[in-house]
Amino acid sequence: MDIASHLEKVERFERARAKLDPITEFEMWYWMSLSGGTSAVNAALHASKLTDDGDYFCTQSVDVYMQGGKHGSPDSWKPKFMWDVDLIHIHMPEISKPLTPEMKKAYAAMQVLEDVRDPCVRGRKTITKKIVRDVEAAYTTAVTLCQEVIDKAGTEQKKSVVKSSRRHSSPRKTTARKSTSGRKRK
Amino acid sequence: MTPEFHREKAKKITRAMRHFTTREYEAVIEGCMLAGTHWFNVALHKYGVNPPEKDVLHAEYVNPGDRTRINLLIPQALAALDEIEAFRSLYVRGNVKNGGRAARRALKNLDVIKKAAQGARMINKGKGASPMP
Repeated sequence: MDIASHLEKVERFERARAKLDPITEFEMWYWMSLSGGTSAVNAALHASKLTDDGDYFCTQSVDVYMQGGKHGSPDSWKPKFMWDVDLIHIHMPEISKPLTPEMKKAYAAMQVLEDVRDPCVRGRKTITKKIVRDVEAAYTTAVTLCQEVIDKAGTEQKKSVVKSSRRHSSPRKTTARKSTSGRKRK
Repeated sequence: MTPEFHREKAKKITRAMRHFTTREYEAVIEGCMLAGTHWFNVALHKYGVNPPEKDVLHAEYVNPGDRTRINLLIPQALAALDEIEAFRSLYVRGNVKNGGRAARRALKNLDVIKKAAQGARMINKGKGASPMP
């Protein structure tokens, strides 16, 4: 999925998260954090050109993506094996290109969240203020790092467009990254 | 985990979902998946299909042998959980339109799974199903 749509998901998950009590409604609060953080990671991986930002949507079966459909027609999306596109979770699946140092840090922050999932959401571990603080700090770190990666990629893209327009006599049309939402890819 | 544990988790997640309308369809669909999976586990433990130490994490991870057994007992609940998981691809991890409609359907599916769990009774004269190899 394209960067703009991932970032919109981050915002939507954050708005949902803000309505929840981290202690008494931990499971949903945590899940919104995990989902938002993973969306941010996907956006940053696309911006780093490590994964493809086409309209391929993760299923729970690793490497299987819903693809090739129309946005107003849910039945038109079909499953297909694909690689180096969106992640369900960090390391799920692994991507073929090496992570940049920034993305390694973002993965490390998200790992803190991942380690909390099974014992606290599916298991009996008691939710403490420390767990909430750790999740909050790791989530903020991951999203901030991802946003920095995306901002840096945007700046570099602008620079390369400026350079290119100086080399060629005809100026390029735009420097902003456009949403590719809804486009079709083979 | 025990049926009581799953029931309490399902209720807690469902209570938290009161904050959301179907316009916040990602949160509703994810909540239905989390609570629905807990109710699904309640049903499987109560029927004696799965022991407390064997929990389902996602419908897609239920193996074919277990699917055959579950389909004989609660086909409607399995179909409901499958549909919630399918919604996640298109509307939570994807940006397909009409997420609100999917969220409304997910809530109905959650109710189907909950009712299946509440009606579950141990099979095989209280002994449950034989363990799978």
